[in-house]
Amino acid sequence: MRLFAPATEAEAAGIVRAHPRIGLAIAGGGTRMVNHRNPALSARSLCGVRRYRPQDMTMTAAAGTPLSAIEEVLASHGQRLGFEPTSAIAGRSTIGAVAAMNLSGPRRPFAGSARDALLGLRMVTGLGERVSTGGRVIKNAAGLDLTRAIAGSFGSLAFITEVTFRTMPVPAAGINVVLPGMRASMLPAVAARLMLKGLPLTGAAHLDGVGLGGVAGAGPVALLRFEGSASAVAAAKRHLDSLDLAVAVHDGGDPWGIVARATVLAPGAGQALWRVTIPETAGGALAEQLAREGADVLTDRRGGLLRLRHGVDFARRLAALVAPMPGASASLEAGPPRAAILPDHNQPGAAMLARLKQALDPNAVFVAANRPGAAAA
Amino acid sequence: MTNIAMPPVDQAVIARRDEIVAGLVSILGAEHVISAEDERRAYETDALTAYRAVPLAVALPGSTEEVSRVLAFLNGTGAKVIARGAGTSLSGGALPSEDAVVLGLARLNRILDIDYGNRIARVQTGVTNVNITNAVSGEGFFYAPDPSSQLACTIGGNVAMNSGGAHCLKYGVTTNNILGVRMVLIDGKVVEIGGSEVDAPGYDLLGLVIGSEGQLGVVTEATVRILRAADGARPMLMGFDSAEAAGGCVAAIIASGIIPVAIEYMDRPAIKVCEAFAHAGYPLDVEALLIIEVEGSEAEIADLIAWITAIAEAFNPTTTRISQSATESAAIWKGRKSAFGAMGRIADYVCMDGVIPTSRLPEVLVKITEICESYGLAVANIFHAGDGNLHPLVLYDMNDPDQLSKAEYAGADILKACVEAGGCLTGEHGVGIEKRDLMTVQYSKADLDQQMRIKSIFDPGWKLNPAKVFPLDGRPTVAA
Repeated sequence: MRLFAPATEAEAAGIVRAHPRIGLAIAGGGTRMVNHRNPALSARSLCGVRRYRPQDMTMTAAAGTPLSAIEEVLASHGQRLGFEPTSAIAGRSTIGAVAAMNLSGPRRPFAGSARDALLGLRMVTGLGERVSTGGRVIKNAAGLDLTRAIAGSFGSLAFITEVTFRTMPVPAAGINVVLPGMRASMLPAVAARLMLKGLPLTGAAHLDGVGLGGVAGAGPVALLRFEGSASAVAAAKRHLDSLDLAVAVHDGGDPWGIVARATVLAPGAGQALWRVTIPETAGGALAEQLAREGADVLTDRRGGLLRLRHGVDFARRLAALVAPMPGASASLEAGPPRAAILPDHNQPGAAMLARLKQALDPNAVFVAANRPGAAAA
Repeated sequence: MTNIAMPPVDQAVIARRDEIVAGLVSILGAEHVISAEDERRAYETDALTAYRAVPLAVALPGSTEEVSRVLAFLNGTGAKVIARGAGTSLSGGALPSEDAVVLGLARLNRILDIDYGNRIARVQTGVTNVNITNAVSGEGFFYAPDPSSQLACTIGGNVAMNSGGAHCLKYGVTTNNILGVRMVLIDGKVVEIGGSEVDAPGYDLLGLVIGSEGQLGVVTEATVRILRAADGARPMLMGFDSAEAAGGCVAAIIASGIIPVAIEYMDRPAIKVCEAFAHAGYPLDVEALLIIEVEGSEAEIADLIAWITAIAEAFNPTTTRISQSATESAAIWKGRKSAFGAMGRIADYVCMDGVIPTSRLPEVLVKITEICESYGLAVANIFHAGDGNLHPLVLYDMNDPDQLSKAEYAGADILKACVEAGGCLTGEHGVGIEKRDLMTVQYSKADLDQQMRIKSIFDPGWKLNPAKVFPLDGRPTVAA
């Protein structure tokens, strides 16, 4: 299999123009690529932070810059990415992939998504044109916002070469709290009540039967995080202590990596890992039902995201469960292709989505590296 | 005379006026179609009042279905379509042309559903910005983006322009607070985009629609994020001897890791006018004033104010005053939010909306003063300092025919300076006609061609708000 790793945007544009009919599979660091049929176009040689002044609260970096390098630079200035991207895979995930896949973590319902933090992009379109969208400042209302349309398109619309995103200060204080014995269906309501109290909740997850890196037992457990000023975090702790709940402060490192990457749900032989996105208030109840049907379930984003591990054959049952639920959809995260749940091409917006592909990559030069069905959209 | 060219009017459409009006009446009834010239004249401009054109007719649909039928009908007539919310655009986004039908959405003013559990509300797009907050404030919630025109402006207009406001420093702009829309395409087809916050797989058309200035379709419903209001909020005033000191103070606050809900800046001319209008107690003997608002519990507010006061010490503030009551806070914000109106009492002005990196504030402020002086014009600065979104008001006298032209040239020079400093043309007012011809300063030909390709795919005949956003030169050829 051929791999192109251009060192400049101009070189990338040349490669796209020279291969109008082959079908290029876009890759960042190559950590998630599963498509081996097509030549790959990698951003790995487009590397480095290009512009960063902490007081501007923005950073511009080449698309192939490893997320770990970006997080290191930000941390040295007391900043971070608010949407908490999951930088798990061997530390080599790139910032371009974060944008292309709209990768957000447990802080997503409280601090917005990767898409929300993205301010601008540079890219090479399917026509081989070098295009800049958005801006390099916090606000930009000039012209059509292609930036957000590209974010989450999994490399099926354009090859991202540079990313500008908003940075956030690291809060002064933070605390992780464990509530053992709580049911998953309680999570959305508990989170809502804590937020109504004005407490600075930035993480609300629930695990059942899978443990939490040995800190809690294997029973059901809710994991909450509060971040903010010292007085706000202290107020959160005082409030929880005043409730008639068993509360333990989790001080064994950062448990949110486990939640974000679902490492405790790594599928074994004959198993698969799926994700379900769903309106928050419905997520907890679905999690309990899935657990009753034998799945190991991790609930995140105050009910809005479920990850579940089950036998490969559960795919059909999962699809049937999710299909009638408004605003919910399921997809395969890890496991054999036969466990995939195909996106619904009859969804009302499908024709609209095809228009976007037509505008950015009319000759279908780009095929998605790792998302079944995306290239056809 | 003004400097911005308008496309030629399509006389064939004007010749069909009676037929077009009759078609609209058959869909909406005579009471919801405005055809008399004196009544159409009410729609000839928006808040960019230097530009006017009486539209062919005004249609006032009362439902998505009626919007759909009107668009399907108009699509065959050759008429252009200008969607209009409350007409508060500062960039001419709702400016009609003589061969256009204005689609007024003010009758779509219902709040359809509020879901506190999932923190969302579904509203028709003619609902005013402030009425969303009014509908949910009883339960302790609010809708975050707060343009100064929020009493009048509609959520549909906010979606079209990706509007901001003073409190967007913490909560983001419209695109960060909308979860879905119902949109009618030029052929009358109704599409649902997004809906609830799930990051579902698939392309994000929603991001593309927000801020698209009526170029892609007409949005009739929006699902908005509502947020839990903080326990309390308190503004403080800080006066400084120089723009440099105030700008430096803003940068230092942000660099220290605090994001106040708002950091607003006013210079001496603006302070004087706003104080005379609102009696907010602004200090009159300073060169620059910051309004900094923090929120949270009592303890948090006290912590944050102490922290900010300590940081500001290094910049020698000449006045520091912390609001002591809700009445005082309201007066402080009234002065700021009435600023554009108050300024209108003393002079005509063009209001710029450029954005710069916060770290470049002091030097760009000096540059703005130099630019205006070079045209013999005065300038007042009132803006969102925390996110670098500048609103220089270039003052002129409409009775002097040369002055508007000079003010527009000065405005263009200011926006070019913003782009040169690493920023952009508009932070929250949109491009409209006002900044249309400056788009080539921020974007290359390839950038604009790509945006126009998307426009063409949604609106092949370029009938939706066509005089706006993209420079007239370099547009694709449209088949008649």
